[in-house]
Amino acid sequence: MSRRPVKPENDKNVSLLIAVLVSSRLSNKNYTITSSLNLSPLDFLCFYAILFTMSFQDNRRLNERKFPHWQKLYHGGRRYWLEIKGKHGWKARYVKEVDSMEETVAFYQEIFDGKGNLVEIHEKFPVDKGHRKVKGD
Amino acid sequence: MTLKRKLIADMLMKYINREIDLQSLVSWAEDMLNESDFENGSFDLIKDILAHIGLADVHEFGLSWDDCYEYLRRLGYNVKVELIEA
Repeated sequence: MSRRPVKPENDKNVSLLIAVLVSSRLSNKNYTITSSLNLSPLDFLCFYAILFTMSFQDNRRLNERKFPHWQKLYHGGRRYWLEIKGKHGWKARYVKEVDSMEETVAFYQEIFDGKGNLVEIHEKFPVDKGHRKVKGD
Repeated sequence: MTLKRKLIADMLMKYINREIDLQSLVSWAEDMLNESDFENGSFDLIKDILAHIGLADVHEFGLSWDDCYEYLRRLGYNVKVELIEA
């Protein structure tokens, strides 16, 4: 199958396509791209791949900026965390785990007492389970 | 979504004025920390304040009037409380 190149006269269509794709990603809705845009399915896939890559990079940059610590996970994802100091030596850690596509798979808080013991976990995503006390040994 | 300082200040004022409860404020802050981008030039400030608000339902962290006042001040607002007779 040969790919039909995007011609200069299609610039407006390309802009429109990008706008629709960006809009669909932002609103989490799927739109049907009609043939009136004069783009082949392969063109569409190429643009979608470009936008997906941009989105992946943007998400990774944002996560790295929000959560200053991270480690790689076995499945290609990452675990990010951010530490916050509380009163009386207590501290908390926000933990965000993403898959290899940089999509969030888990988001939770860990609470540590003044001795550094994990005393509480609040799983927020994918399901908000509320605060759960962690029992010691 | 890009979170701006104004929206955090608005949410804090809603909490102070009892338009939303603590759990709603905390849940909102946690969601924003997880999902949102933050206003350029105030990124670290917004991140820090959101992270603390998101822990306000933990006793050893909490959210006092002084905390609210300090967060609003750091966000660029002066707070003046007025008493209205009921």
